[in-house]
Amino acid sequence: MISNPELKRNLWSQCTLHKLIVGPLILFGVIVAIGMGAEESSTPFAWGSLLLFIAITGLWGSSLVSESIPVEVQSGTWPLQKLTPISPWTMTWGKILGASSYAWYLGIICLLTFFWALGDMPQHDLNALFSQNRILLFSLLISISLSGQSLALFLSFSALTHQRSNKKQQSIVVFIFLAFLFLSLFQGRPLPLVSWYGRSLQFYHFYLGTLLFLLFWVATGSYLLMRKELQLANASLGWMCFITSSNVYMMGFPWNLTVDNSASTLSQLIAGFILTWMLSYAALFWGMTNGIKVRESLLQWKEKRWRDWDSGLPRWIHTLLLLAILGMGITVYELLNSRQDWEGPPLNGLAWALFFFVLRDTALVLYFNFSKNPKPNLMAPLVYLAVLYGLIPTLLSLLGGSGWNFIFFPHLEASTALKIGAPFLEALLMAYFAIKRWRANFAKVH
Amino acid sequence: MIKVKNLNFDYPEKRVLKDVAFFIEGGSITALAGPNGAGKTTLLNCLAGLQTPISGNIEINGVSVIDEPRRCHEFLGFLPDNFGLYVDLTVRQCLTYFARAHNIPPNRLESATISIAERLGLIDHMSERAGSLSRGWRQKLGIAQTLIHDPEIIFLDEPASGLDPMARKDLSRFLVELQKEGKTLIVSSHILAELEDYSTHMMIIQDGRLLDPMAVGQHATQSTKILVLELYDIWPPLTDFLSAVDTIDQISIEGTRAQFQFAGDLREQNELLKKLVNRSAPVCALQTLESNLQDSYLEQMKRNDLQS
Repeated sequence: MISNPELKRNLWSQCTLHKLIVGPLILFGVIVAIGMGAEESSTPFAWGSLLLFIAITGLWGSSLVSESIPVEVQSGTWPLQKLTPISPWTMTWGKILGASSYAWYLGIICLLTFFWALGDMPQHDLNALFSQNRILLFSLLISISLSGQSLALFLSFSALTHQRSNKKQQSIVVFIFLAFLFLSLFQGRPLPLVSWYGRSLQFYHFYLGTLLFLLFWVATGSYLLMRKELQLANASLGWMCFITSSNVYMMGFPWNLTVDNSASTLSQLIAGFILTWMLSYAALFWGMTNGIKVRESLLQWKEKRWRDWDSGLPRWIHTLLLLAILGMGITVYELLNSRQDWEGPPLNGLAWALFFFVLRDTALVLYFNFSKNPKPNLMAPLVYLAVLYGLIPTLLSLLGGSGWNFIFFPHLEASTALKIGAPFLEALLMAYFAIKRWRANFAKVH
Repeated sequence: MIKVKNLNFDYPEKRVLKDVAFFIEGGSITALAGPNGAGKTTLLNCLAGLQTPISGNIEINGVSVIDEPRRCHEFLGFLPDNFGLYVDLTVRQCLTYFARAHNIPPNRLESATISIAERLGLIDHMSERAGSLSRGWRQKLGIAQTLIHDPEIIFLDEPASGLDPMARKDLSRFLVELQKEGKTLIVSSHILAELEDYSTHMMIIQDGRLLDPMAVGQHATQSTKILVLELYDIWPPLTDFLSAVDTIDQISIEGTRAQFQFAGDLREQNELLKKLVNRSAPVCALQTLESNLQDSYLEQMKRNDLQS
């Protein structure tokens, strides 16, 4: 008895008797055609069924999951579904597994064929992946497909929340994600060991851990967006946990940034800082804070509705906070320790320069988002950032004025005062313009 | 039953609900009327927990819709305008899905679906695909899905749009039945004549504001009525006579015809007539002017225009 109504509805829609009979027959035909050229070797069967599994559950399954939300919105069933008391988590997994249920039905047949063929495969054809324990191999393959499907649902929800749908872009992102995960499975012999927090781990064990970590966060992201769609408040703790755990994951690798190539504290701090710096931009462009959101946040603050305020707070704020903490960590480390263990150019406030540049760019994006246009413009700030980081510094260099580049990006050779002072002043100026624009367009309600 | 306080809702370009506040008692059918784009659908969406207002409170059965929208969905049913159906599922599957989604236990699924299908006349269509149903039957299936969990509160947004006159009549009858069972309904529609058939209260929304919140309930429960007195000849003391009666207000006299607001009951109306005859007034008729929902609506709108 299936207790998840969303899964059951999808099964009724996807798995009709006709499709359940015809699908495996076609699949059987394809697998036989692949094996026709094989001379009493099961290797082509194994490869064929493995590729079919990834294509069917990964690519096609993700596409089915991705379409599940827009189809409901277009057909007008989405509001009816939101009016039911089904829990957001039940809806999330019901959609991921339900929309891709037929793909899983065919995929499992491929996977069984794969394991059958693997049993008969000659020793010399067994690569590092195929030699792994069956349970580990099964877990790796299932996790890859599930991660792709969860990412597809996350992107689909994200497009719905931000009212910008680009199916082609979503498909490309999912394809690259799946291709990267799948191709990373194939490692030469001897199998590399992964060093993480000073421990040496078997590659596939570590890889499965990474996949599960990814799957957890992509599925959690979909769940949180589902909650948002259902008008439920999301505590910012979820995002904080995500960025913190991502930092913990990344800091575990030996970054070889220091003189002795060890995973020193400074190396870890720098790795975390770079990751958080990238996440700041991701949160800034993904969240697209608009004027209404700011007005809402101010009102919630005024009315002391802390839960709503926390839920609506743009996530780039939390990311910037962590960035500042890591910047502080680097500064303190530099002050307390000799600079001998850093092999690059002098850090000298580089972290703070980067921080203030992010602040300036945040204010720039907000300035464009605070226009009267109800749909935030993504392209305009991107063009301006390209001009600021690319075009102007290039022109300055060509004209022999590269010494002024500290105005446009963190310049290693500039003095600390200039390195930090310039982006700080730019951030202040840009923040002034952004606030002025918000006041003009959103402070008063019409 | 439904308590709304200082509700504000913003779209990026403008505020669409402005300090909306009202209270609706249980067991009523409230007509939500207003011009296109006035904020009717947004208000219903907020009431149903599909959209979150920028500020304000909504309480249904003592539960805050803003804080616990999913809990409200247990006792609330909403059929939005332009709703869709799962076209590749049969009527039975559609109903079973919504029954399950509303936490109806497995042992009651069959009886719940059969019961609602019988009420709406869908029982002979249970094996048909939702996509193959005609407009009227699709509407009925939509209503059946909305009511499968027997909600106490029901919101319907333009429920009769696209229905033929016969189906509209059926719908009106069905809504009155629901009201008699103690359900509380809010029905939004452009077509006032349709709302007239079943609504007990009226709420008008214009430009995001609820017009004269006191008007809620006035249409059905008003203790005053408009009386028309017709004489066969001009009677000079008429103005003084009517003005002296406590239960009479807003007198308007044009020749041999007088129209006024009367706050008394039928016995007092009879007394008034007796007094007129005793004073030898040339009375030929005294009748109640039937005021319909449309009149109330237009009157409210006119009053609002004058105030603004």
